[in-house]
Amino acid sequence: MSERLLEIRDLEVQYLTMGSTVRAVNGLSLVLNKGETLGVVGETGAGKTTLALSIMQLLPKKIGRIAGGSIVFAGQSILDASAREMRSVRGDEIAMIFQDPMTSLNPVMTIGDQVAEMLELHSEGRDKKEISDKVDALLEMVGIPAERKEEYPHQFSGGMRQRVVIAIALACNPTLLIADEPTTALDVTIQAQVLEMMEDLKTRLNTSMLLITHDLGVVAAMCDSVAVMYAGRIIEYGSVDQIFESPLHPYTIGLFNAIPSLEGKTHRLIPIEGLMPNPAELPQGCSFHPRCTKCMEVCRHQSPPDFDEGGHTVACHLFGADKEGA
Amino acid sequence: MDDIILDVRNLKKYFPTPHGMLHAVDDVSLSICKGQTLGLVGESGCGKSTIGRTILRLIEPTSGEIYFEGSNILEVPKSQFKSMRRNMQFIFQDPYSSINPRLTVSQSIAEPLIVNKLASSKRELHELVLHYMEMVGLDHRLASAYPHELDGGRRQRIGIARALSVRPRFIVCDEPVSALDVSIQAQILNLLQDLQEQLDLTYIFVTHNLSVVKHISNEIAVMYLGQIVEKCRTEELFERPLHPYTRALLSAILVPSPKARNKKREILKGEITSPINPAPGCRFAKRCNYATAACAEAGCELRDMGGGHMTSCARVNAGELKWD
Amino acid sequence: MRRKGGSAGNENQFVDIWRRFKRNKAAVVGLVVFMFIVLMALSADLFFNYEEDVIKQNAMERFQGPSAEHLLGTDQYGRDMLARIVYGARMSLLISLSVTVLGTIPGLVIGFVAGYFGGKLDSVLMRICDMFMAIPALLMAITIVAALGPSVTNLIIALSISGVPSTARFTRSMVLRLRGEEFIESARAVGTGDLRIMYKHIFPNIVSLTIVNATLSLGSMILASAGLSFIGLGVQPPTPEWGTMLSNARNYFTDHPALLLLPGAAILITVLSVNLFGDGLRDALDPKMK
Repeated sequence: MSERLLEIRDLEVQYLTMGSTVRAVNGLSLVLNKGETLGVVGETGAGKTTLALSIMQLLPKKIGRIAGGSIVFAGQSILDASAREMRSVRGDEIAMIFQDPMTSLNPVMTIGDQVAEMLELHSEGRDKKEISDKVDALLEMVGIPAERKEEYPHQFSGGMRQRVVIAIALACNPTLLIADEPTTALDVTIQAQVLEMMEDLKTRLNTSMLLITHDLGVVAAMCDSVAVMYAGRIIEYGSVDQIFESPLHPYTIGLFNAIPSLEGKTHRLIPIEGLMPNPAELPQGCSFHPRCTKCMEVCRHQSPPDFDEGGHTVACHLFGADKEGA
Repeated sequence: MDDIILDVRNLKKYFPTPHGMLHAVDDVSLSICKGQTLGLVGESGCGKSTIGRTILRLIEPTSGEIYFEGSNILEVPKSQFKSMRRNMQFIFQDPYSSINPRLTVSQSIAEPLIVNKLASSKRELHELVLHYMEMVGLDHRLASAYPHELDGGRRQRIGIARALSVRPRFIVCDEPVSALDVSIQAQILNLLQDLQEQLDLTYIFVTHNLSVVKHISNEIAVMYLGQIVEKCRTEELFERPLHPYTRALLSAILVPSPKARNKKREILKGEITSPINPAPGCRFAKRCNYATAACAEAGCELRDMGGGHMTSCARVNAGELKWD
Repeated sequence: MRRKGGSAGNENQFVDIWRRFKRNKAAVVGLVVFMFIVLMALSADLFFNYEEDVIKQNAMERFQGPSAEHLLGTDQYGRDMLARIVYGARMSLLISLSVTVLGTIPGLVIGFVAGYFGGKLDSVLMRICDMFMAIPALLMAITIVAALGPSVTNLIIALSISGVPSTARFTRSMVLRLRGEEFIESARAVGTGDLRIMYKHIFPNIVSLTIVNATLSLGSMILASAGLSFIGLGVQPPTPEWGTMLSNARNYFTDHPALLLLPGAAILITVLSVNLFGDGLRDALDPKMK
C-alpha cells in the first residue's frame, strides 16, 4: 500500500561505560510509511532518545555503538553512509526537534540568522535575498512575525522558541521529522497551540514524523500509529485505534490504568509496581516480567517474539500461547 | 460544618525586578478545611508555587494574613516560627535537586528528627527513621544508599518521609509528581492519598496537571497571573467551568483517546503576559476569546455564583456570558 | 547490615573516588612522583648531614661532575647538589603547603560568610577582595615582603595573603549556587538552622572542589616562592631553596649549566606532578564521571 520511508530491523545499540555494557536498544524493529506520523511512547530509560540519535547517527562517539541491525531510510542504508553523506542527510532529509527549546537555540545568534544558517548549509547557490525571503516565509509559517527575526532567543517565550526550532527543522523540507518530546517543556495552552501548528504543517508539507513522547494524550491527538517501547524494545505496535481501544500488552494496559482519568472519579490509581529495569542488567526472558501481573513461567526464561494480529503486533507470551491453543 | 485549618486572606507577594514590581501573588484569599485537599492549578509563572512557599514562610509575603488553626502565623517572630513550622510541611517538585546528594537516605530522613529533637536517643532515632522509611514504602536496605543510586520515585519518597517525620497536620505538595514517569506517578499519588487517610492530613496540591488535580483534590482554585480566577468543588469545575480561562485550560488537555481528536478545541491567542506592573482590569483579557473593551478596565472580584462556585470573570458574573 | 549513619556509604564513596582516579594514568603518575618527592624531603636526614653536606663550603670540591660521592656533582661552593636539592624540596614544600593552607582557610571562611548571608556584608567583603585582586598577586607578595623584610615567615605570610581573595571569590560563587538549590530550602522547611545548613549541607558539597583548587594552587605557590626567592625576597642563602639556587647559579650558567638546570628540573617536575594529580582529583571527585 503506502511507501516505506524508514525501516528499522533488529536494531541493537549499546553504550560502553566503565566495565559495563548498557543495552539501550535491544532488537528494535519498526516501519514508518511516507506521510505517516508514528508515535513512540515510553517512559524514562526506555531508549526512545537513543533510537532517535541512532537514526540521526548522532550517538555519542566512542561510548555509543550500534551493535547490530539495520536502518534503511528512503531505500538507503543509514548505517553504511559515510560521515559526509550523513551530514547532508541530516537537516536536509531528516530533521530533529529536541525537547528543550531553551537550550536548543544558540543564545548569541538572532533567530533569523539561525534559520538562515540551516538554509545556507543545505542549499548552495542561493543568493542573500532569496535566503532572507525564505527565512521570512518560514517564520511566518510557524506564526512568528518576520519583523522579529532580528531578535535573540531570550526575547522569546518558551512556546515561541519551540516555534523557531520547528521553523529551523522544516527549513529544508525534510521528508522525515523526528520530534523528541517537542511539547513536554510547554504549558498546556501553549502545547495546544504548538501541536495544532505542527499538525497543520505536517499535512501541508507532507512530512512524515516520528513523535517521541511519554504523553499518551499527545499521541492520541497527533499520531496515526503507535509503538510502545519498554527496555529498548517495541513491545506493542498498532494503529492509534488499536492501541487505545484494545491494548494487548500488560505494560500498555498498565500505562493506561496509571493515568488519572478526566472522566468519572476513580478513587485509586492502579500503578505498575516496581521500577524500570537497569539497562546494564536486563532481566532474563521478557524484560517486563518482574513487574508483570500476568507473568508466567515461560516469561522468566524466554524473550517473547512479536505476535502479529492483523497489523497489531505484540511481544508477549500471553498471545503466543493463545495462538498455539487455538 | 468542617473546621478550617488554614485561612489565607489578601495574600500579596511582590518581587522587585529591574523592570518594575512583579506581582507573583496578588490579593489571594483561600481557606481549607481539615482533612481536605485543595488543588492549586495554573500555568508556569501564575504564582501557585509562591503561594505554597509563603504559607510556610520559606518566602516572606509582602502583605496579607495567614491563619493556621486560628492564629496568624505572620505575626509570629521568625525566630519562634520554627516550632510552628513543624505543623506544616512542604514536598518539593524536583526529587533530584531537593535531596542533598551527599547524605544517605537515612541521614536525610534523620535530619528533621534531629533538628526538631524528636528522638531521645540514637536508638530511637534509628527506629524512627526505619519507621518512616516503611511508611513511605522505602526498603530498609536503602538506608545507607545515596540519592544518585535511586530513581526519581524513590527520591520523592525520601522527600515525603522527611516531611512526615515531624508529624505535620498540613502539607504543601508542590508539583510532587510532575518530574516522574506515569507508572511511578501513580505510585506516589496513591501513597499521598493513603497517608492523608491514615494521618488525617490536609494538603494544598500545587500542579499544572489537570487530570492529577482532579484525581486528588476536593476543591480546586485556578490561578492566572497571581490571582485566583475560579474556585469551586472539583466535580463542579469539570462539569460547569465558568471562567473563560478555565474553559480554555480544560479544552487544551489532551485526553489519551483518539476519539477526543475530533473534539473542538478552544485555542487561546498569544501567550501569558508579564506579571510585572500589571494593568488594572482583567489580566486574562488580552488572551480571552470573549473579552470586551470593558474587561480591560473593569475590576474583577471573585463572586459566588451559587453553591460556593466563585469566579472573577466580570462578564460571567454580570450574566452576560452563559455556557451551555 | 542496616548500619546507621554513613560509614558504609562513605567508605564506598572513597572506593569510588579511587576507582575513578585510577583510570587517569597521568594523574596516578603525578601522585606517585609527588609522593616520592614528599618522602624524599621527609627522609633527607637519613641520607645527608645538613651542616656537612648542605651548608659547609668546600673550596677543594667546587664544580665537580657527577661521581660516586656526589651523585649530581657539586656547586660553586663545593656543596653536594643532590643534598641541596633534597633539602630544597623540604623548604619548597614547607612554604607551598603552609601558604596553601593559610591562604585557603581564611578565603574559605570569607567566601562562605559572604555567599551565605549575602546582602551588605557580601558587598563589603567582595569589594575588599576586588581591591586586593586589582593588584597582581605576585606583585602584592613582593610589596608585602619588601615591607616586612625578606624571611621564610614573611614569604609565607605574603603569599598567603595574596591567595585569600581568589579563594574567597571561588568559595562565594559555589556557596551562592548551592544556596539556591532546593535541598537547602527543603532543609529550611523541616526546621534546620543556619549553622547546621552551613556545615551539613553546604560545606560537604564544596569541600571536594576546594581541595582540588588548593591542590592546583600548590603548584603555583611552589613557583611563586621560587620566584620570590630568585629575586632575593624569599629564602636567604645559604639555606637551600630551589629559587635561590637558580638565582645563585645564574652567573655560572655558561660554564656549568647543571647548577641551573637541576633545581629548574626539580621545580618543573614537582609542579607538573602536583597539577596532574590535581586534575585527576577533580575528575575523580565528580560523581557524574561514573
